[in-house]
Amino acid sequence: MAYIAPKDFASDPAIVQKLMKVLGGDLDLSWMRSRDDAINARPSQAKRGLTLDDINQGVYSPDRSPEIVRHNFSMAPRGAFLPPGLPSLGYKLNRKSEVWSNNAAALFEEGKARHWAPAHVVPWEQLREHGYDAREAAAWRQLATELISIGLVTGDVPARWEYQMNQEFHEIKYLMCVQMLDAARTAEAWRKRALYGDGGLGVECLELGELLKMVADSGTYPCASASMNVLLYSFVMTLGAHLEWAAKNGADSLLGTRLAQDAGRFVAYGVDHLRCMLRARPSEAHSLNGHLDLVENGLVGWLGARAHLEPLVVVSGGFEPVRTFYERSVREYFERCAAAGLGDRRARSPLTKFLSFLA
Amino acid sequence: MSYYGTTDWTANDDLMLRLRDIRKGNLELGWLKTGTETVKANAENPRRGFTYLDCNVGSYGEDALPEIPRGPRGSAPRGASYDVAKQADLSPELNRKSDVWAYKVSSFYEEAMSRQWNATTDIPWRNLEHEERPIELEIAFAQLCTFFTEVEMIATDLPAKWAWRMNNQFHEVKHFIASQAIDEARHAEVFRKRALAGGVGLLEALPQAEHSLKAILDGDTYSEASAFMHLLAEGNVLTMFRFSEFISPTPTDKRMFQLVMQDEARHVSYGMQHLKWLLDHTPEKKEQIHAALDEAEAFSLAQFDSALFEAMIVLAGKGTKPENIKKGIEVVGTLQLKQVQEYYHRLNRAGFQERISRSKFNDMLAAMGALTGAASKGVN
Repeated sequence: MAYIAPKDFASDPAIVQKLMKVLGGDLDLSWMRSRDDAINARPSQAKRGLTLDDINQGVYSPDRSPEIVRHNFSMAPRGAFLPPGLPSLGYKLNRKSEVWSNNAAALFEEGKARHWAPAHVVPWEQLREHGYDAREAAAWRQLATELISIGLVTGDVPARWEYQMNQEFHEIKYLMCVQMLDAARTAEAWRKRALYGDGGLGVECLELGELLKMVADSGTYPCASASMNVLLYSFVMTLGAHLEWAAKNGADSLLGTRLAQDAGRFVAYGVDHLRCMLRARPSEAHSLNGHLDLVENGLVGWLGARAHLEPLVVVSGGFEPVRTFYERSVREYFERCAAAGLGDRRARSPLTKFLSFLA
Repeated sequence: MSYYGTTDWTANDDLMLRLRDIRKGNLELGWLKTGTETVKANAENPRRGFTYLDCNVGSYGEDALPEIPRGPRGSAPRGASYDVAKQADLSPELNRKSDVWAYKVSSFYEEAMSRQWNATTDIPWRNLEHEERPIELEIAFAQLCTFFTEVEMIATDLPAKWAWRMNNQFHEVKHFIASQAIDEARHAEVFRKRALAGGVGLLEALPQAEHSLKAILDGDTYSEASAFMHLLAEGNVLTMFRFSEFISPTPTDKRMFQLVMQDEARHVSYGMQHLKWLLDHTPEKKEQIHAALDEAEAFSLAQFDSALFEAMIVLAGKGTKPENIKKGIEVVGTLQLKQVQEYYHRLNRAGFQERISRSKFNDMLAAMGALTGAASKGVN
């Protein structure tokens, strides 16, 4: 697998000779040229700083990127001069519509601006008087255990595709790095939540494990994005809001709010990614819908699993709030699918049948 | 290639019965009987907050993690109760602690979380238009920024390539390299922004540097790739950042390098501590790392001649007149030595002193008449 240099540079006298030539004052300087197409990027709004949108102008703009990248497979940044001899780094995602979303640059900026560190930001000491009885406290720890798993695996999903993506799409790659850290933070924050005070983790929810494996093993990047960003994170986002509602102390309230906020970026990217892709290639809706049919089945398994549903009922104070939460989550998810261009999924989705079981 | 689970839930009668049961309030509460340990975890130092170091307790802690955690291969977090036979196997490929672990990795992660900065707002971009510098310096600086934009993304792509292959038992490492990925994306971002805000734009990509990046990405093992990237390549870049701060044409540029340096130092430290952990726990892998660094150093040698090298000379000498070039060469010559010197110093600290006598850089240093001079000081 290793890439071996075409020659052993260490035993190539020409290398040292070149070095000594430059050190002797014989410079080439042919690279010193000014560009006719240079831009003078400035912050469009001083308060917001210099954003990616501010620098995405002229030859540096993603609008200039072709649908199929054929001119560069190296790490040379978009808009740089490409001299001969640049190697291929073996990228497999070279088609803009496979990865692109128009809101990625803004979401990347948002992700950085809203970074938070669980070690400092969460008022952990408020968990000393958490306000729950023993069963409720255990239920929170069980749900925390699940959120750790979600954080662990959904950090792996962007990682799995990011390094295979052409550098032409650097805004998407940047955003995927934000996703990796957001997911890591989810795992970190909820692990700390479970362990704080007299704490501990719960049991692995097998159905969640199955669902996460489906998401992780999605065969293409668009399928992975649809199942993680749009499907799974739609539910994580509403779960965050629901936990914030159910919280009886400031720490849990903040954890729920931040979970929803971070999850919102996954969802926003996913919906716009699918929308951009389906505008460029409407025929892809068929395979995406087929994939979602099957992953939604996995979601049904998780939503109905005792290790998930029972603690959710406990922290919610009964079944009705959970049903309302599930109905809202499913409704909003279907709306997002429609907005992305996948059409009306209600009739074909296993989630519709699942909701009928709850009635 | 996709996986769609073991159960068709819509055709599962148990699910319907279960939901009816739960709806009526009949909870089995099997999840309450976890069999997991209850521990006391609190913020030992309130000023630091509640860190992963505070969570290093009982069966949940990193100290309790064995070299080979047998059993867990799915998404169960470390310390949770799970069923070995029923877990959904995520097929992790890095399942030995020594494959990925580093001394102090939890501290590196916590530091990364508390020191995130924002290239959009933490650089005084507005000042740049008022900070005067000759056009030839701006062109040279744009070339330097093009190089950094080009190479920094490797330290995002490489961690990404390996993170998802790591067993979830090693979450501290996975989290740390996620933080590295965003750090490096931010570096690529800030250098791109700087090149485009200066009025010159991006200049030449560097083929020789690209061959090194390809070699890093295609490393056979994570540890080999880490030795090349964290220890050698990022180490070199760290020295260059320090140097670049020194030769920066404006205060805005100095600020930029101050911020990227603190991130880069963390990544290099992780690489050093990973190598140290690896050699301490699996000394039999030493020869494998030697062989990887033989090749890595050879790639690095080829990079000494490039537009980058000349750009640094122009920046260091503050111009292209003969007297500027002369001064620039003196400064950059010192940088070249410093890079090797600091690399040797890192090898020392990682407990890999024996590498120094085998290093491919020695011939180059000899050619520069410096092997027994400045560079060797780093060895001792």
